[in-house]
Amino acid sequence: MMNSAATRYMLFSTGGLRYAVNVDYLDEISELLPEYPIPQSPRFLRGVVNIHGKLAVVFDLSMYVGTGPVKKGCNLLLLKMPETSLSIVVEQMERMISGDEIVSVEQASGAAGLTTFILLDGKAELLDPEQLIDSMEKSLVA
Amino acid sequence: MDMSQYLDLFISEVREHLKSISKLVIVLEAEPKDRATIDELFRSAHSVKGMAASMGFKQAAELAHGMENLMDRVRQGLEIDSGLFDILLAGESALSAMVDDIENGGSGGTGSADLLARIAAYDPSTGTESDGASAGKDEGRASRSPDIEQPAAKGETSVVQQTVKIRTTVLDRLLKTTGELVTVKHRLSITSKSLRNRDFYEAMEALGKTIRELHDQVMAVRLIPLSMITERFPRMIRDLARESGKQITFSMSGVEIELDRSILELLGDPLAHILRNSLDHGIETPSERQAAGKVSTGRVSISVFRDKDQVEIRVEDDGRGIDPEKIASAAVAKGVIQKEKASTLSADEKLLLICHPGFSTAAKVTGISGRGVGMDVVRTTIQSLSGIMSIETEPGKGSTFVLRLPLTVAIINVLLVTAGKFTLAVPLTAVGRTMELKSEEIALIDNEEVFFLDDAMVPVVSLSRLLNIESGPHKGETSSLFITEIKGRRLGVKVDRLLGNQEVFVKPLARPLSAFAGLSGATVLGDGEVVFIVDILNKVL
Repeated sequence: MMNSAATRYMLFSTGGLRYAVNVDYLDEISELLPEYPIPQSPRFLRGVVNIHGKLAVVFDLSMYVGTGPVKKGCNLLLLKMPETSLSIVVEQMERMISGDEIVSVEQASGAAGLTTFILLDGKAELLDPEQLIDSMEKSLVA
Repeated sequence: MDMSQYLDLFISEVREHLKSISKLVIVLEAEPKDRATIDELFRSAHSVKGMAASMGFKQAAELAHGMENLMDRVRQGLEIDSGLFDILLAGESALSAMVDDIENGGSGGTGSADLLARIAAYDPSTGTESDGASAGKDEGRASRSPDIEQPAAKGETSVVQQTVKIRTTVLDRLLKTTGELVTVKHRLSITSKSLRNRDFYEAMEALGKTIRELHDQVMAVRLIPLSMITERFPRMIRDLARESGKQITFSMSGVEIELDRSILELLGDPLAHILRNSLDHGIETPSERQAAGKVSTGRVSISVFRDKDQVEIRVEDDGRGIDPEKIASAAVAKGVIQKEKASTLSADEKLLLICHPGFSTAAKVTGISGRGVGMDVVRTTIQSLSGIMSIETEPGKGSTFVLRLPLTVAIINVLLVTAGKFTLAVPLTAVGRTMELKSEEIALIDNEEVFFLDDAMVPVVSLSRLLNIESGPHKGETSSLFITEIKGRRLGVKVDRLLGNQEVFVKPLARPLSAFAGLSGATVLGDGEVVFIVDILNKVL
């Protein structure tokens, strides 16, 4: 998705890093729910939860990018993508920002090659959910 | 008058008539003198003309009118040859394209003056448009059109039924709601047991019965005969046979058997691809067949059988067959598999290498079966439907692709088991029986566990090992297992505990879970626990 001044992002932190995700990808922010394990799954997929009858995979982004497992999650960020059911366990929900709050952009400089937004109060790694699910599937098949 | 409100109905009804025309032409090609088929073709063209004219689609109405006139001339005694079938099929294709255009907001295209001129000029006695001459296809003359056996296509009396068109999304919602009701019923069942209230228990029993009836009705509404997707195959086979210069007799049986629409929607393309493969790689040219001592006309068939709550679809040809050794050699040469590994595979496993992405043994890439990108998709699709595909073949004699599928994938009966920290569900269709075996009843032969059942040796594998998960601690003197059968071979699957049978609503797996091999869905039990459904047959194969 294009970055513009009108584009809004949700800031959250997990595994000691701050991330930004385009709000168009956000479906719901949920409390933590009972997780059920997935057979043969890598450690970055913690399990599945039942959110109003919809099953969502609980994804440990911190483990995936190599900064260790999330120690104390507080929320699940359910993403909205076609034929996909993925929630990210987050340690802290921060705030919503708009594109014009981004001071500068550093391409592929952050964790796992993510683009980094430089903000007035620090930086945030831009999460591209579509790219994320593609690379995740490749690693699962491999 | 604003006719736009009738557009959906127009499109759906014209498409029905066009399907019928396509089917009837193939029937007429096999029996050119059949009066009932000629009359039916005339009526279908007439209906399309009337509907198109009333909606103001002039080009479509003119073309249908031309086809109607042509069939009227045939009714009056006009001699016909294969040119007629080509013209009618060209008309059907042109009208289909017009309907597509109309559906996309167009007015039905730019007309079909050339085709109308061909239709008007058709007269085999003067040599105009006969035997495919105007299409300039010499190979069309050289190869005989396939004989299509369509026993049910003619002479049927139509029964007027009270029907109503309904959007498929509504059917999907209905099924989902019914599925959720099944889950809620199980939750209430658990509560009713702890309450120990007789009235509540009886009400629960009645509720369960009503939900079962509702489920049966919803499933019945969703069932669609396989013929909905196979009716295009006679035309496809005809065209491919002409294109490749092969002679083919094509037949279908059992296609009236009904499957859930969610399965049918995914089954059309895999079946078409298997048929194309049979034509392209299986069936030989007439000269090759004669040299091999066979009749020059090849045979391709689709046979469908129902076996309890499963359906078996067999796509059979009497072509050159598949040599497993040739497949294995090709796979090694292409780097699909290591030579050492290939030498350890059984003949069946070697055959299934054709389902590896990018595999193709064709000497050249053809337009018929493509670039070998299809069979992997075929197998993956069948597996995603909790089905299995196997190949039976005899070099020189032919091949049969066998697809075994459930009739429905939405609400199924499962066996609940535990393996390590997991509770898992195994579809009952994959479970022959369950057993408890004493330790001394399991023997080690060649380092593999086996036991004897009905005087036959049955190998044992553990579900934990199959799924590559940690097994739980073994307690007691007995082992719990269920027996599954794959291609006539029984296999004992050891689990930590057998929990019992239950009816469950299957939730399909979305990304990224859909990338997991061996899991075909998930379900929510009455206590809210999420349990994965194991695709045991494909996991073992």
